[in-house]
Amino acid sequence: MSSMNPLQTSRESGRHSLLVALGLFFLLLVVLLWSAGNGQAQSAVADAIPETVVTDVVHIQSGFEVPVRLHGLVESAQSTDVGFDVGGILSSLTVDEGDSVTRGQVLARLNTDRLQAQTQELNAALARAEANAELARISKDRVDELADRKLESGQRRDEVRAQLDAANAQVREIQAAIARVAVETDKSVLTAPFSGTIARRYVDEGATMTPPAAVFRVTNNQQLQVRFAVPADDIAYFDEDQRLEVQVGGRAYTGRVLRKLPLRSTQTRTVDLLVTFVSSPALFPGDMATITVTRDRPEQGAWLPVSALSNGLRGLWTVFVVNDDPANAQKAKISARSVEILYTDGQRAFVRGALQDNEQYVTGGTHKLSPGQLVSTTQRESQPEALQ
Amino acid sequence: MRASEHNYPWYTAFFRHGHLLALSIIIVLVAGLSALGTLPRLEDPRIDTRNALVITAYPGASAQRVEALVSDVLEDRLREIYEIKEIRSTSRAGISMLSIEMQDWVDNSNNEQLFSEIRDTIGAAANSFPDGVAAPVFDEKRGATAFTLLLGVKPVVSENTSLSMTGRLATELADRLRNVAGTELVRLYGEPDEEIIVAVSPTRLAATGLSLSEVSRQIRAADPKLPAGSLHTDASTLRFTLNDTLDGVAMLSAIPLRNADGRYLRVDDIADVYRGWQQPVADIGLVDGEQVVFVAARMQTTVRADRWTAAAIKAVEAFNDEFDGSVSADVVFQQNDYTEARLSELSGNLLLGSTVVMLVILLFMGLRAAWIVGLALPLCAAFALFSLSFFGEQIHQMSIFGMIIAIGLLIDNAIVITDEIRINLQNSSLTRVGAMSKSVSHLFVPLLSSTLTTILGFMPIFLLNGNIGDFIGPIAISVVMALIGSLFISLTIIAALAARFLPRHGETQARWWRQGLQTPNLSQAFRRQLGGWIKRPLLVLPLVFIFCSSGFMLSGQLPNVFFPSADRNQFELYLWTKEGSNISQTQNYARQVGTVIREQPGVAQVSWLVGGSAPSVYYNQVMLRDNAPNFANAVITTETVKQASDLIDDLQQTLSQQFPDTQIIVRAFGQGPPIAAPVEVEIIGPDLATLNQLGQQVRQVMSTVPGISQSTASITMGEPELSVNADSDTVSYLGLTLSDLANQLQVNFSGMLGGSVLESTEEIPVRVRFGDEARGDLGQVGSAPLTSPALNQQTPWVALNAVSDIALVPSISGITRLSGERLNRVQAFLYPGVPAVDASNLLREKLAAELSLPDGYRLHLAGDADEQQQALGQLATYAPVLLVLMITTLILTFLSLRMAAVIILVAGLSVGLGMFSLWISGLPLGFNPLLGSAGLIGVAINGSIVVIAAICANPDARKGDTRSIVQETMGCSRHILSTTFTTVGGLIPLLLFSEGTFWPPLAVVLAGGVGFSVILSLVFTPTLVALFMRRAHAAGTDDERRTALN
Repeated sequence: MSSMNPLQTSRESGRHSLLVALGLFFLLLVVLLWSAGNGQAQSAVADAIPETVVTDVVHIQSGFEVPVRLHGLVESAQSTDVGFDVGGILSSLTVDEGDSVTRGQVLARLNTDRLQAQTQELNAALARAEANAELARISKDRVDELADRKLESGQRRDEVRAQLDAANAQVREIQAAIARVAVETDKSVLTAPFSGTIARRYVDEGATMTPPAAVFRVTNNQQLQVRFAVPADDIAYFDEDQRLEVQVGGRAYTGRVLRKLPLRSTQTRTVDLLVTFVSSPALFPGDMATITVTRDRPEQGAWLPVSALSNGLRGLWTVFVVNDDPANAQKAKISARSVEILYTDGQRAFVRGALQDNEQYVTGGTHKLSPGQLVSTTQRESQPEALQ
Repeated sequence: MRASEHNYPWYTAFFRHGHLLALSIIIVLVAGLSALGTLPRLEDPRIDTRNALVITAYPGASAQRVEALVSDVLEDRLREIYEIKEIRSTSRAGISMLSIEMQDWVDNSNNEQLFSEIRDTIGAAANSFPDGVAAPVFDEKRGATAFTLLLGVKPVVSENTSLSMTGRLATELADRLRNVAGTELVRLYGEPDEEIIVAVSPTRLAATGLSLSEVSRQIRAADPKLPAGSLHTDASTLRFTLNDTLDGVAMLSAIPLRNADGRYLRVDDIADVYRGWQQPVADIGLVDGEQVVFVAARMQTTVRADRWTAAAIKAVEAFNDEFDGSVSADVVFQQNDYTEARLSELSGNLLLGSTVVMLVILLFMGLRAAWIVGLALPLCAAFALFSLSFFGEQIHQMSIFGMIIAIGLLIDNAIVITDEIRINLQNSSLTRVGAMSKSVSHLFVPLLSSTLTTILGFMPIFLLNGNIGDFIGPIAISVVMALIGSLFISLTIIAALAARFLPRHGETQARWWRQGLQTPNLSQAFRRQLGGWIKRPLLVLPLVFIFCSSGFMLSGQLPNVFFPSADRNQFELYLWTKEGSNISQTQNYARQVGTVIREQPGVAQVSWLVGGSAPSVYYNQVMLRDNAPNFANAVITTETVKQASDLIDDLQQTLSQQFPDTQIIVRAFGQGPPIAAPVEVEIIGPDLATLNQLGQQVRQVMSTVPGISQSTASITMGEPELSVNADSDTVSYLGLTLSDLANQLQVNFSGMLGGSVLESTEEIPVRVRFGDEARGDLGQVGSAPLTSPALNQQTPWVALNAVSDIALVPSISGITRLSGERLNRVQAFLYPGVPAVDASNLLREKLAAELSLPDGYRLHLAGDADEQQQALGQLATYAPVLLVLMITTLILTFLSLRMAAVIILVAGLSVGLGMFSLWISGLPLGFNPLLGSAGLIGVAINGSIVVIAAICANPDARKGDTRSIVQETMGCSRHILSTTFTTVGGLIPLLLFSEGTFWPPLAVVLAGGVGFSVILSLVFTPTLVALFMRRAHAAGTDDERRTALN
């Protein structure tokens, strides 16, 4: 740089323009690079933003009610198989399945030809016996007269008296046989034992009946009852004559507890409960009926929505409780409390555990929370309608 | 000329034979053009399939049972295959999912073989499954690949068209799309599993004394879809067919059933028979609030996206015409729009870059030289394009980006050779061919060595394998091929053109466009300044050194991400409802959230898949979730990219506050290899309860890390389970066993399949179950009727709660394992714009401070940070070899260790300059800048190589003579400045006009690094070399020779 003086000025100007050129080059490069990154640089990391949660207040209750649904089958109070207690060939059936019958109505008849023939035979025998008896009486009268006049011996008189007794006895015997046949004729007509409906017909005309065989099943529709198999624990909730609502096929009827059977079924571990209807509904035996009873459970606890429960261990559930710090409502800390579910209906659960009255708990979105996390809370305004 | 033909080397043939020159140009151009026309066009490179899924259903089994009996068995077998890198399994109630990842070196050429081996292994493992486990399904088509076309099929009259009908027509459409040439696969999402439902009324069934399974058995028995033999007569063979097969609802409802009393009744006496679909459905598709069935099609990589899309759309239009009025198939997404936009944007950048480069050359070298040099651009581009097909590559944003980087690099060779020939032409003692021959022979070694070092700089990227290599590798392929092309084309065609057409006797007073811009004043000033600097090495060297290294420190302040998010007018949203939620509950939330989103400005479309991952519309959106009723995935499309990024910012906050009962994550699509979550902690250990507890602790720590919005854990105890505590004594009184009880519950509440109905080609299974009125309510579970043959006529069933206690207990929602060990995967998601690696590092510190692990448990941080480490590790695999190669090249070039060491130092300092440039831009540090640095080294040292070569060639300069060194440096300055300006100029479009955050970091490092590196090549290198030379000279003539030879 130390050189001749006359060149000094041109050197100075050259140096300046070099500096300007270099400066310009690097300035342009910097501007180019800066504008490449401008607006695309990553934003600075914001503070951790607390999760928003909705809270509600715990209301501790001293008990709750559990609805229990029981199913039973509708059955007839009176329902019987009717049949002949004598054998024979079925000659006619006067009713068929589904027919209503009144008490005493003829349902079926057996063929009585043989009985009629027997009757005639017996009538003839009776006539002969009566004729014999008449002859015996006449003989006795005559022998009595003669004996009074001492024309006959006492021996003879005793004989004719005995003959008369025997003849009368024979008449009575035949009369009894006639009566028996008459009864038997009556028995070959089947009548309804009570008013009801023919539920079933087992045989057809012409069948040969042997005594225990049933011809019809007659049931009483007016007198329906429901047999509920109640778990033994719940039977205490029912009293005799208690009125309750019975659901059959989506409709409600009023029922009355008829009786609790004092036997426990060995198979089902249940006790049968018989309920009759107060009115006479148009139902059919075999329909399924449902009753709902509320079971009182005297347990200390609180109702929570199921969505408030999360992530438990060993059968226990976790509820997040917001530590109440009025100074810092937007940065409250949540803590996990273990609870056990005593009952749930799918939407709500009655829980027991480390909860106190009037504590704030998180109602939903618990799957994104972890214990000790900071949250900002909003109070649940009203009972929100369930999503659906 | 003609006489001395034999004395000239071969490359002068291009000069001597005009036909050869013209034809070579034409051949290269035609090859490039034909490659342009035939190469497949995609948006993003296709990542080779290295991932596969094995899905095995085990209906009704708990997570633990599925883990022990299915997942574990499969894992043990599969772990014997050594090509498998890792196996992740998720065992949930009723289903086991194994996600298999192959080794990184597995690629498309050998994966099919491996897949069939895996299939065989799975088949063998399936033999040891217990009864009731369905056959495992192997799905290897779930790579990181987007669908090319996504259609939503929806009914025109939605209130009267059943979902199952829409589903059938969607299946028809899928079949038609499969027939379009070039279709790889077509999948349906949100279609119902059609079935005919026999909904038995428990009331009516009870009266008959039949059980549900008995009904099902009898229906199955009434279906003679069996061959019935044939009759062989002398003349012919006649087949028997039973006509009375199940062929519809009417037929089915007329099937006679026989009860224990021998009485006959018909199916419809006790049941409602109707056409329906399996409830609850597996997934539900929604587009803008309307339920649709998604038909997703992907094309093969061998066709062009635009041509395939046109053909597919034609098929869709034909379908729409045919079923006009019944259903309509609307395009939800077509990749081609994006492919075209992306490719045309990049091609625009490419053209713009070329234009800038041409202007720079015009400025430096004048008009005639500019067109000769400029011709190198299309020629090299054509060569590179043509060579892409040899690598099985396609035209996509990575390969085009490679071209853009290459513009600035490949032009260097052409500039240097043209400039040298121009100078030699001034020498009137040389003929034109002589000038060419002299220049080429003089420059051959330096050009080869500088090209080789640049190629070696890009080689780590070229050699990367695995997902990241598939993704980023094509950049290097383009660059390397363009550079190789450039070397050969410059030494032959360009040299010949320059020798033929450059002016022979340049006038000194020529206009600037003839000779290029001349600034003698500046040159003179710089010459003097440089002389001053060279004399004061102790001041200059530390200053330059400190300036360059400052980049390393300053860049430490930058945010650190693996890859920036994608810039797209689409983003996705995850929604989780509580574990154990029903899909319809999740759908309700999804619809509500969708309505809120659609009200936002600029939202064009919201498409949902409830119950699983949405069909992928972006290569980075991997479908990881199946059969997840408490999960919904939305893809939101906005009108502009800007609106999308604004919405991502807003929605995360808005939605989280508005829907506190759900977990919502709004996430921009990522770039680079797909990563499930940006921050991930894997807790590995044996006990589920402890893992769950540790997971909660980690999540608590995560909630204190700024920037983390939400977190999820893969093992939680949050799924509610109804536990039926039946006493086996009590049950045995009923004449039942506990397994009978389980069966009855299964049949009563889930139903069972009995036979199937054939309708044309559709086979529809028949499901026998209780009607909805008896199975949809938790309150009714207790009164569920159990039947038993031991029960009498009067009470034909007994309620479930009479023999058992029912309790709602929390259970394991799923068990995740990694290579046979249980692990709780805690994933955290970030607010938009939060750098993942930084968040991950912060979390690591906090975890180390706050979490103490019990014995037998360990933590592993996964996510972006881990992936970045792995990718860097891979880059480093070949680094030593390449470094040695590079040094070898340098030593062989200069025949001097010292000079090679100077270059290595320059290489290191140039990376510092790149980092300094990044710091100026404020863009985040990440994988792209590191890639840029690898490339930068190769480029930035070229200037210094040229300077050292020139100095070494001058005997005076070798003696450390300042004037000669300045003289030689000045001689190179034109090359160096012009190549620097062309490199920076070529990247200007990417720096300024590329939308988004993906390319700028890479371009900034390259452009800034190369730009600033003129300090290194024109100041640092001559100063340092002069220092060495002076020392060597001072040490004596004897030592001089030895030093030079060392």
